[in-house]
Amino acid sequence: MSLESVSPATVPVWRLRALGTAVVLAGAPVGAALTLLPLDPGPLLALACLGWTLLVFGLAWWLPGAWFRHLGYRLDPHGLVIRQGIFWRHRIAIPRVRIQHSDVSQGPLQRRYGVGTLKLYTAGSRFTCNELPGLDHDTALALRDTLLRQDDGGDGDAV
Amino acid sequence: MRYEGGQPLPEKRLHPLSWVFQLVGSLGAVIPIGVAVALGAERGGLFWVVVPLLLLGPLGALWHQWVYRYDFADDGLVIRDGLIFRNLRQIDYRRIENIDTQRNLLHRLLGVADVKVETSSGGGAEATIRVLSLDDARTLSDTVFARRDALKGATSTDDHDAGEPAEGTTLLTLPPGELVMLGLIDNRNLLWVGAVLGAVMQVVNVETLQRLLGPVLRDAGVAWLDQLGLAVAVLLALATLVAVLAVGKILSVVAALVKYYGYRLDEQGSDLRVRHGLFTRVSVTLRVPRIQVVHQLATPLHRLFRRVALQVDQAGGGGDPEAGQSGGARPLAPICTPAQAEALIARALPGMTGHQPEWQSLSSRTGHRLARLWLWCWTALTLPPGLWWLGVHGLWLPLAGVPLALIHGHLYAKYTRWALTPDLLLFHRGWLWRRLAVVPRNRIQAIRLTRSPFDRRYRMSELEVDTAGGGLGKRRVRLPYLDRRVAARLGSALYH
Repeated sequence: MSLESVSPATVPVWRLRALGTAVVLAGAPVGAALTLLPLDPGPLLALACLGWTLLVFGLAWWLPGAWFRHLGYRLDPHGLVIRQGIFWRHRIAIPRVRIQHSDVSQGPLQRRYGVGTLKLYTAGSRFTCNELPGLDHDTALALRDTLLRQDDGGDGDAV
Repeated sequence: MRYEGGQPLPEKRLHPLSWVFQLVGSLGAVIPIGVAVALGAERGGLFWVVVPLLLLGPLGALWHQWVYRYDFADDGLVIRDGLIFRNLRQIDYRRIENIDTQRNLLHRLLGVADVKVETSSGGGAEATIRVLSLDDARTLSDTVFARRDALKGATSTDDHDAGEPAEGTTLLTLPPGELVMLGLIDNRNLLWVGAVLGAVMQVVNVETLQRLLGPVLRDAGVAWLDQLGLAVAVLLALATLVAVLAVGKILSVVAALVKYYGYRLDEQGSDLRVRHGLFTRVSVTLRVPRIQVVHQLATPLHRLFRRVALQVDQAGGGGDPEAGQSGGARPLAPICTPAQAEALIARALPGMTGHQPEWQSLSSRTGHRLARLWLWCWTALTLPPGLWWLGVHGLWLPLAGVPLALIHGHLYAKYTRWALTPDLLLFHRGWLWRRLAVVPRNRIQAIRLTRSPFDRRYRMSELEVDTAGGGLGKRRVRLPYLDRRVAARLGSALYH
């Protein structure tokens, strides 16, 4: 029951995105603290600012890698299994007869690194849209085609 | 039905009084404003200028009634709306899931009904025909269902015969005695009464009460409320509580009697039909193939009266917004005996309940884990106030929670169980509020196994299945605290 991992090229994409978020998360409070509070920041405040910045940027660097290590998928005759999550680990199994339609999307940053996101839609109520991010774009297209092609043999009614 | 240049020309018209309901339905909110404007204008001598404006509403409603047509084409229901801007809608018979009628007091006085045509697309009715006479409504639903079954019979051979009877056997009726019981069990109105009382107390605060009641009480020899003895005060508080409870329950009984008066669950061909209501007659068709999950609920009060409640989750459909439900949840039986419930579940999931379920328990570590969880919560809640008021003695408070936590953990683990038959997944959970979910295995859309850090510590997994209906809040089908290996095996059994 081994799972395949997604393309490692997706890690830089997630890192760049996370760093963008980190700049906002670290910059806004630190900037506010430094401008609004007295001109001469005490050592405690400076230390807190430094700690917060380091924490946010550290997480932005570490999380994408960890997320990548825990992300996996497996295509079998019955459908697709996706495993993800670092602390709360989910393993979702989507029978291929239940897949209503599928999408491969690619943002500008993803296009630069040649990765894409596969989206599988079911007729369910909670897990209607299941994403498998970070796939090599060609792999994503191939996966989608495989899932679509095999769909002919289904019993027709996805509900 | 005639055709003109390939376009169908529907010929059936609405009831002659449709404009009344169209007006009430679309412009009801505007009428008071119109009246106010008219009164204001009359004072200014502009009344006759405003009159044409006021007539716009009724004229629009009459126009709608005049141009609105519907008819039965060969393969679908045709509805035409508008004459200048024509809107021609064709709804394939095979896509029509439900034809519901709804009647409030005005409808019933005039012998007409709102007819809602529902398809599987979800998100409310596909078309609302406002209004038809009762005979026309019945003809409409009979014709549509007969043609639908005929079309389906032509394409698939395993379907039942086309000429199904309009009335089938009655599966459940609720006499007033049962409805009174339903009202006593239901707690929703209690919250409402509490909220109203709270709001009233916000406006009329204690001082006002004292000012109002003071003279009366002084006559009775009592100067102020705070001069009453502690015992009397407690007694008064208790009396108030009992009064609130009693009023809430009486309201609840009345509400149940009004809403579910004459409740009948009939078999109609392969589908189920629910009819109820004293003033607003509700008629709902439940399509058996679209039932996703059957839920059975037994609160402590239900068990006191030896009753349960049954609900079904349907695919698509907008649920019943008046009952505060969403996502296709519909009551199958607001109240019934456990034996009736079993028969109804067998009827709602035909051919699936043949196998006796072999109940499996949760992980053997569940009781332990739950007791610890409850103890942590109890400690977090009671320790700070305990230390604040009692000082060092407050440290004893967390210990007081130990028995309760142990009992809860033990009972939850004892009464929570699941079973897998060739056709069904059954999950029964809770010991005080007991919920049973019955999921046909062929309706499961996706299966998710989750392992939280706590799950990993106790070697457990949580399994959640997703279906096309409802599945929100309490109606999620989620099996927690499963042994890790058992969960993996169950997950792969459901997946294959």
